[in-house]
Amino acid sequence: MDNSLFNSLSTELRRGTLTLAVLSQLQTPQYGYSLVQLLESSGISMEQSTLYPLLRRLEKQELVTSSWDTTENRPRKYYVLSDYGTEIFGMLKEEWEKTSRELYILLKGAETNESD
Amino acid sequence: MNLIELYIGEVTRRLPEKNREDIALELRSTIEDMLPEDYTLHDVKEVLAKLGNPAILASGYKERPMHLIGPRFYDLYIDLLKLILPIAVLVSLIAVVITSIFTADGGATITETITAIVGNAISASVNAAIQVFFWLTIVFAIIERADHSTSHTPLTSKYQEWTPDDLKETIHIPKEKRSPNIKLQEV
Repeated sequence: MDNSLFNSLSTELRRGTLTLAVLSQLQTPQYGYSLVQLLESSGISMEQSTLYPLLRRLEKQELVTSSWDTTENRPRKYYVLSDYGTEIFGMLKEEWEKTSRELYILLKGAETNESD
Repeated sequence: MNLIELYIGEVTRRLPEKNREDIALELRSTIEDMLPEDYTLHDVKEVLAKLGNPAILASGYKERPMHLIGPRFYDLYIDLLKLILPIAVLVSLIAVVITSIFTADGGATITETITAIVGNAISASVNAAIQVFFWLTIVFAIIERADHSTSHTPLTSKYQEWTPDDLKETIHIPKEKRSPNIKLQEV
């Protein structure tokens, strides 16, 4: 079996869900590395070289706002959902739930067809 | 100089000036977050390896495309190239022939004259082709970077997105004319 093809397809499959995963964790303020750890603890592995630019992009799209916290021993940039971001996140979440329900039915159907 | 600063430098030198400082600061604090308390050179290398190639990280931050001409304009580009290239070559060939006739050296033999014309014609047409290719590519590379629309769908030759009405404009070649050599057997 061609593993590299599988890998590229599965990366593609996951790529779209990363934004949703990140948005879901930004309901409370997070800085870069704390976000990495949060995602990893839920089993979502994400290239860090993808995550940091993604945060910037989300900020530019006004889905999240950022602020520097300089009170601790090292300055950290915190990101949190904006009002607009919260709204979009809610919509995306619904969309995801709908899609996964539909896909579940499709895949279930394929399984029963196979066993026929 | 230490590896962390070198790494940050490698990322930020690829970024637009206005973002450099902020990204450098964030990157530095991230790298420090990833390192243990009393870190060694080995730890630093491990963390930098995790962040990966600085060029890839920088390309993630950049908003400009990493290709010269993307799918939105590629079709249009190729169509125009196919249209303009033969015309430019033809025009330059005609120009060579005309100038050769008017500046023909009376003392030269016919073979000499013909060789000169053929040589000039080849170099002129190659020149014209390169010029067309170069300028058209430059123009499209600029358009690609200046276009800020969020749509990625390819454009038709009318510089608009495709609609079924475009089908009327395609040049229809009747089947008989397209392949005169292959005759379908009548039943």
